[in-house]
Parts: sequence; structure tokens; C-alpha cells
Amino acid sequence: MHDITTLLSQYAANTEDSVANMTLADYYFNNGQFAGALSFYLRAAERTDILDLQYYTLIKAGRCLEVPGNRRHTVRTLFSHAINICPHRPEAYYFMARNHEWSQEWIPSYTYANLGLVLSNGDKDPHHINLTEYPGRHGLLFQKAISAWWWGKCSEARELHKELISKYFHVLDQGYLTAIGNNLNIIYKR
Amino acid sequence: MQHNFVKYVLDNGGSIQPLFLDFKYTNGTGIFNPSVYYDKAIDKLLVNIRHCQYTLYHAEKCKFDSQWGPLSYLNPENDMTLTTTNYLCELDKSTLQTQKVLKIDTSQLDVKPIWEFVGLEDVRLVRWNDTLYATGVRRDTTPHGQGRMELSGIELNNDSAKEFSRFRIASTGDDNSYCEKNWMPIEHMPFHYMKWCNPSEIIKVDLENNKTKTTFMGTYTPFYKDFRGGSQVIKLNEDYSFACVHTVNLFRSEIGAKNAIYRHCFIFWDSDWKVHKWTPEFSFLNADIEFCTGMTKLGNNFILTFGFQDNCSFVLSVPSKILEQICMT
Repeated sequence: MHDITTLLSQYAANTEDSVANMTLADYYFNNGQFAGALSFYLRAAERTDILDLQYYTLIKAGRCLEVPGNRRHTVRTLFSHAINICPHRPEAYYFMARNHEWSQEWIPSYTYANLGLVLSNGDKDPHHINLTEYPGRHGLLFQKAISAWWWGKCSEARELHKELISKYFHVLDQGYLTAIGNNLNIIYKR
Repeated sequence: MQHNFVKYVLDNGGSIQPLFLDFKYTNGTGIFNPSVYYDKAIDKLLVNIRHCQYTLYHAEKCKFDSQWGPLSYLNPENDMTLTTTNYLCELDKSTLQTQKVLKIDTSQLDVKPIWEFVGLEDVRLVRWNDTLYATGVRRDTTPHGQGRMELSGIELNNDSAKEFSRFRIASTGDDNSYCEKNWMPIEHMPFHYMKWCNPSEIIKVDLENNKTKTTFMGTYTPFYKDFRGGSQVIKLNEDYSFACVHTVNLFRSEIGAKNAIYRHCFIFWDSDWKVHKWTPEFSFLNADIEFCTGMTKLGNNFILTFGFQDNCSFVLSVPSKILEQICMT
């Protein structure tokens, strides 16, 4: 990890270099300076023809607005840009589904999660720039499961929760285990 | 230098540091229009940083517009005011790193705002007659947003920065203009501002009678853009004063959405306030929205502060010889 002075010097040496913009953006993001990070991610996205880099920086730009909160329309615009660039990658579908879930918009949440599962293999791909906040295929499955329940697809929701436990138990972190446990209490009580 | 003044400075012995405010102050939204000032009276290098509750979205190349176009101010979805909070920071004079952050406490003099731009905007710091002032524009005192420059006296202690006086400056003439802003305080002439740069117009504020008079009016030189106020006006040396000012190109994208490009110039005046030179327009770090609102002398360097895309801010140390060379060539 370089210090900020070095990163700034590298950026100043070539302000049009997309990687320099992205590297600086990552520093700002990791230090809670989300507005500054947004500017550098957008600059990076607009200064490269590499789809993988555009995809990563646009999703991160969305996260720069999602973390502070209360700007969901623009967050979704950024995730939409990413989906349109790489429709066969899973991450943007996951972030879009989760964003809709937070607003209890179950139909688009279900739809994006389902599209992510259908159009991509859902796996983290080591050949791409790593979006560490994307958990993997089980993240999409979880989003589909909870939105299915609240959209009234109750049987499907039970099956999806079973699938999460049976196939992905070994990769579920404590947050997912707790959430799934809570969900099971609800969906089998009724 | 035109496209990237910072690179020019770094290649010639200068340095740059970011200015950060912790997430707890900003909730991750933008910090901008920083104004640096070396306060000799207390031997401290100060910076006022402006924070509003918005983040600026700017897709400079219009490839990834937001739903409102390439340039939009992203307020919280439940708060459409533009509310400014000012933070007075102390920087280490050697490293330019932030040592202390104090929110300016305005509570003693605040009144209920009656327009949607709230607070003292685009503050410049200056010490005149033993008082440290934050001077900027306030637009929240009338129902239609009339803007007037104000002088806020700041009492700075170890753990607090408190506004103890507030003076709303009348405009020149009959004081019926809509908005006065970006007047540049002249550091070495108490209560004088450079109000316009082409022609140069210096005004003096009479605090006792609340009158503002023009004390110098230069001559107009044709130029394709207006110069707008930026940093304080300070001495380059015994012979010249100078300031960093900005120009604005407001335009529309192909689908009619608003867009803008800001650039900067240095203007040098001789001891009679005749314009000696203005530089070609330049950018600091090649972004389309940048704004310099502070410049001060510290040892053998000039320190400049500027905002970048309204989202983050930087402090730049420029060896004096660079600016003297720019002035004389």
C-alpha cells in the first residue's frame, strides 16, 4: 500500500491514466472519503476502454453514494451502467438487488438477483478486479430467497433457503448464518 | 502548466497534500473551497474547509451520466437545502498535514434561515486589525436569497473556534444588487477587497457606517471570459500583489443538461494596482471543476488550497521562485 503523497504524485504525473485514478479512488474509499473516491472512480471509468475496469469503478462509485446513504436513484444509475457494460458478471446484480431490498422493493430485488443467477455463473472470478464486498453466488441466492418470500413466493423462498444451507453452509459467514436462521424462524412458523 | 499546474509545481520542488475531514463530520460527502492562511499573529497555518451535505456527480466526458445529466449536485433525498458548515483546521507548517480540526461554532449569532442556501459560503481567511476573520457570502437572510459578503470575527482557542461577531457588508452604490460574492480580501489593506478584476475594482468597507465605497477602478482589457474571485490578494514581493482567480464556462450537454468547466489564472498587479500580467488559464489537476479560495506566503513558499470536483480538497506548496518567474516572464 503506497502512502497518499506517492499516490498523488503518480496521479499528478498523468491525470488521464485510469489506473492512477482508480488507485487513488481506492485509497479515498478505504479511508472513508467517499465523495473524493466517487470523483476519481468516475474519472477512471471514463478514461479507459477496458470493460473490467469500467465495471469495477462504476460499482465502487455506486458504493461511494450507497455508504453515506440517501442517494439511491444515483446509486442504481451507477449499478445500471455496470450491468450494461458486463451483463454476464454477477456483482452489479447483487448490489442492485441488495439496494432494492434495503428499500423493501421486493419485485426489482428478486428480479435483479434472479437475472444475476441466470445470466452469470455467480462466482467470484479471480481474473477480474476483485470486488471484495461481493460474497459470491450465495449472495445472489440469499437476495432472491428473501425477496421471494416478501413477494409472496413462499414455497420458492423455503426451497431457496434450503439450498443455501445444503450447498453453501461452508462459505456462509456469521452474518449470513444469523440472517438465514432468523428467516427460517419466520418462514416455517406460518 | 496549463493543464496540470500541480505537476509543474511538483517537478520544480513543490509538494502536495490532501485535506481530509473525518467521516463523522461529513458522512462521506464533499469537502471543498478550502482557504489557507498563515496567521503570523499566532504563528499558525490555518485552513477553512467548507462542507455541504451534497456530493457532486460529474461525468466529465459524458460517458456515464447520472439520470440528471453529467453534472449534478446529489443532496440527500429528503433535504434540498444547501447547508454549509465550516471547519477551521490547523496544518503542520512543514508537512502540511492536518493537525487539528475545529468546527466553527456560529450558534451565538445564528438566526433562523429563510432561504435554502444556509450558512457562510466560500470563506476566505484573513487577519485585519488583530481580528481573524472568515469572510464569505451569506444568502439565508432574505426570502429570495440575496447574497452579501459578511465578515465573521473568529475567536480561536486550543479546542474551539467561535464566531463572536458578524457584519453584513453593503454593496457599493445603492446596495440593491442581488448577489455579491467571491470578493477577495486584500491581506495588506485592512477592510479592502478586490471586487472585480477586469477592470480591477477595489472597495473599502466602512464598518461604522456600513458603507462600501470604490477606492480604485482600473481600466478594462478585452478578454473572452470574466475573471471571478478566488484566493485572497497577497503580496508577491515589494513590487507586486497577486491573486489566483477563476473563470467559468457554463454550457449544456448534447441533451441539454448543465455542465461546466472552471479554470484559473494568476493576476499580478503593480504597486499602483495596474495589472502587470495575467497568466493563461490553467487547471490544477486537470479536473473540470476546481476552485482555489486560498493563498498565503509561508517562508520561501506560497501555499495554495483548492477544491477538486467539489468533493475533495488539496493543499499545494509552491516555491516562491516559480511564481516570481511566472510574474516576470
